[in-house]
Amino acid sequence: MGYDLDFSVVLSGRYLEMLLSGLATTMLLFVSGWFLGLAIALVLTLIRATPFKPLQWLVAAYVEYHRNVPLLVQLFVWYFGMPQLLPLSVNRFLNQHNAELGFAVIAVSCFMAAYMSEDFRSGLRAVPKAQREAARAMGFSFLQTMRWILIPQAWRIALPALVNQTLHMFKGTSLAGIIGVVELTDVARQIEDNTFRVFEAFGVVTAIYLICTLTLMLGGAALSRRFQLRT
Amino acid sequence: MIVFEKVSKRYRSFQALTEVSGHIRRGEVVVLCGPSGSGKSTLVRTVNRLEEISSGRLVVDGVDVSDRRVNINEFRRGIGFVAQQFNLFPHLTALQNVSIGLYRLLKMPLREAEALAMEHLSRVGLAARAHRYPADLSGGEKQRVAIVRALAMNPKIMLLDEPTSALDPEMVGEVLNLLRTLAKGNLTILCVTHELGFAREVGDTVWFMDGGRLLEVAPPDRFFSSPQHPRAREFVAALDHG
Repeated sequence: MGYDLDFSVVLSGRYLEMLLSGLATTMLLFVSGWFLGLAIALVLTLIRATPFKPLQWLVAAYVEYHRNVPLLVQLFVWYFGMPQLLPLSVNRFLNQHNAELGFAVIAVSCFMAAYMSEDFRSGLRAVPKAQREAARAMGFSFLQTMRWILIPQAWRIALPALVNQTLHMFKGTSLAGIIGVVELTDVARQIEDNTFRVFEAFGVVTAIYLICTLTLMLGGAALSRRFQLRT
Repeated sequence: MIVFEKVSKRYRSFQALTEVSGHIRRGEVVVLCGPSGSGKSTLVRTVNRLEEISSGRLVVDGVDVSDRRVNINEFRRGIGFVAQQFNLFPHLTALQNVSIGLYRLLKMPLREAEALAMEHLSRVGLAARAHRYPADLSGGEKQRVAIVRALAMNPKIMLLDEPTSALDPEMVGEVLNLLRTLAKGNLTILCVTHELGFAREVGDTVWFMDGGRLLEVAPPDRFFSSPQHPRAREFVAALDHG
């Protein structure tokens, strides 16, 4: 077997720069997708908590689409489908401004939002009904009850599931490479293409993913300890 | 202060309240008793519209409760509600449970709200427990916090739905003591309770309900010594033997 592991090629010069910029892109995609996803998820959760049926069904349809269609297909729909519906001038503008990353952020956040809103919903259902009643009896409105009483309990209950979803989504960002976002996995593939250093390129990327996900897990565990809901 | 005029409440096929009529004067302490399933809780919960009434009229402090134009959230701020199960908010400390309404609803500055909440907690002997979460409090302490949480909003009316029923016997006393002080003030109180001694001592009037109807209204002494309605007689007799 004539394969000598040599990380120095991958971890220096141009390739190191590529790795770092890939990591930066992955982080950008992850962080913006996560926060946007959280915002959408909260709106979805609120809509689903209202007694207005047609809106609830709309949210249910949204959730089921995003849960049952592969993320890769969703990326394709955004990246290849959306431009067909937009006027040429808008497309031209998008193409000059990193359309790949933009559509990837949208796809990833919509995907994330569907899962997060389900976690919030089951969290909300786990909060005893009497809590809502106690708050309403004090004079909290529906939204105030959500904001100050129910969601603070729901997210504590949902925290382990949310951490799980977050990890899932972090790894999901690697699919964005396929529509041309130069993120970490895509960089690894390019480096491997140029150097034939398969194990080094993917080994380094694996280590980076692992460090990130372990950090997220530890952070999640710390949050769980800090915000544990005891009843 | 509270006027019921032929108030009825129906759930699908179940008639929970049937034409309840009665009135509660300002500052009056009404003790609501009756067997379980008699509609006591439902009646109490109509007063702040936790239960909508199906027919009749219910006027609280000059406000028609069923009126859609009433801002229900503002209306409810004037009515304290304490349930059997305390229902403290578990993600907030005792102090925050009391201050959140002052801060978020009455828009008091946070410091002021917390100072006032602390004052209320001290008055019921819970100053040292103020920064504990509900999970760290005993049942009696939780219920005192729940009562103080309602009181801090400075309500005109207090609704108490079996405030001592979920407590261990040794904790009933501390809660009753607090309720006694309340009853001496000029709050209007509607309280569902099975504590007869308490009812006798602090109640101005006993309302006896059975089968969703208000069957008897009498001063406590008369009610417990010589109830008029046959169902009330059975009820009181059963209590004496219990």
